[in-house]
Amino acid sequence: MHTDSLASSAEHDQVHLARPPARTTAGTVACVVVMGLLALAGVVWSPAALANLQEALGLVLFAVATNLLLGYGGLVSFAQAAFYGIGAYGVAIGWLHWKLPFWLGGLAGIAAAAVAAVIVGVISLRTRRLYFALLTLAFTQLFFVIADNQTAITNGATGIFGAMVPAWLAEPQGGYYFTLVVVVVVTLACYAFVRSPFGLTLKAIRDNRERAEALGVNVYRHQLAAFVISSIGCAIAGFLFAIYSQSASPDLLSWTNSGEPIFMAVLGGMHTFLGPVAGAIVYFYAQSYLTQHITDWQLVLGLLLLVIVLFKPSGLAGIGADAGRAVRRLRARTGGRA
Amino acid sequence: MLTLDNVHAYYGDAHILQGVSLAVGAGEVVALFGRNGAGKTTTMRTIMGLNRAAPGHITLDGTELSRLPAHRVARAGVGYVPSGRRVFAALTTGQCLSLAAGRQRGGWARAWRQGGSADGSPPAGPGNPWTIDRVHSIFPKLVELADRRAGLLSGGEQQMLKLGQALLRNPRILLLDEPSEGLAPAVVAEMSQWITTLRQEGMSVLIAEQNVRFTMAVIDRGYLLAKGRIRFEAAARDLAGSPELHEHLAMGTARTDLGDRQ
Repeated sequence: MHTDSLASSAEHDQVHLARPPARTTAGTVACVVVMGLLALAGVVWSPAALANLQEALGLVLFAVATNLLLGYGGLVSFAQAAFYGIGAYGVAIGWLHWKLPFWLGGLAGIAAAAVAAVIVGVISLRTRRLYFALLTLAFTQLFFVIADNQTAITNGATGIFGAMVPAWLAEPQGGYYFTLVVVVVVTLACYAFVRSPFGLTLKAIRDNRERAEALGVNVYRHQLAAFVISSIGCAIAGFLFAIYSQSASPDLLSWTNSGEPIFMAVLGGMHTFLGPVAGAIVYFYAQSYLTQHITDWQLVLGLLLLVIVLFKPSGLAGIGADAGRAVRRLRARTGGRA
Repeated sequence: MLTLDNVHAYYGDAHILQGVSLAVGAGEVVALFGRNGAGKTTTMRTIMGLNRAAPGHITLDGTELSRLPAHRVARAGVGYVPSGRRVFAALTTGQCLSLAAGRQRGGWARAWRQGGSADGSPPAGPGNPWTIDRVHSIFPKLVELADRRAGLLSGGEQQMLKLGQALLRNPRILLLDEPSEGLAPAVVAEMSQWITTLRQEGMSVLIAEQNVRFTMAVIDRGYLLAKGRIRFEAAARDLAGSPELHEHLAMGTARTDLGDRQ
């Protein structure tokens, strides 16, 4: 009995060593270092570089929020751009028509996106896979047409431009730090969400929907909640876009825009939490570099996506994990010799 | 306890179940024998609400199950252990168990369950609810495997995990779909030990199987299902010598490891 429990605890430890904890500590350290560098960047970087980084951070949130559905829920939604756009329009419309303070307009936009997400989700989640994707696409088109046609409210295709945020937020440094704080806080909230029992249940549904149902899980309700939470995250990213660009226009809601966070998440690795973060950063800077040097930049990014999907479905996160393993192996080998 | 009355089921145009009627009494362990394609898995899935019974009635202690979605059937007290390697591959063993255990702590889910047993029928087991600790006590191996991904477990370990998950829902009846499928003989012997243990605890069990030798030792009664109909029903001691049963399953017993692909 005694030896049994000893043996089992030894095995238990071995399992532990072979599994995430070591990586998690390294990951935590890396995250803290990156955040420190990001905070430092606000002081030392040029205003132009900060403006770029601010835009990239907004996309990070867009990708992380979209990946709650894509990576954890196994749901491909083309509606996330609509919620992003609604988040941006909240600030713009509030300012244009009622001179609302930007944060009140932002809150209204995020709330409106949540309501829209409930409507889209309640209907779309009745169907599965392709039909779900197609229904979300149809809804996005609907929202796009509303933004494009309701000129009295949205200014139509022209969009809304103007000094819709306070001067300190329009400053590169103020805007950057505000964006950084919002993105970090909301991303941490998303992390807590995927680690919660609710997040685990969502993964279980992704792995095997019927098994989850047979364990008493109300799949529809779980997916609807995840859909609304993801959409709120996307709306917050849209709100940050309005702060960055001081504008909102219908093309934000174009369904092709929903492809961007999906691209970023797949590029970075949709089955890890931080993959989409890396994907968004790489996508943003690759795009700004490529657009300056190549006219057919989309071709290059398209090829990149093709290569990832075909040869490395775990994305940049998978490549990073492979590299980490290789380093550990190398270190173990040299340690063995020493 | 669990009653199926003239249950029909279709996959598309295929008429799979053609009027299945059977019953499992409280504390009874009943087998549903049949070859591949006889409709065993379809029967299990239909009870569970994963297929629709059309037409037909399925009741658990008088509660009609046949119009309920699967998660309501589960909450009404039906535990399901599907065949094959159907686990939550990306979750660890420990997460799988806490997921199953967590489901019963939820306020409204519990209220529903209590409502479901308000007719005075006793909960399954000797008033001793299943907890993760209790599952660990009968499957000590799951403790060691807590951090391993469920998708990486062996066939026998996955059966333990699936059984543990189903028990954590504190079901009134367990449905086991081909529990011996693809398992090494030694693990099959263990499986029959586990079922015997559950039976001693007073659990009602319906087992779909084609492995007669394994099943015969643990059951009270058995049905033979052929081409979507119940061919006959008999007590275990009468089944053991039944030429008809052996004739029907002769092929099946030789190929237990091929799996039920209906």
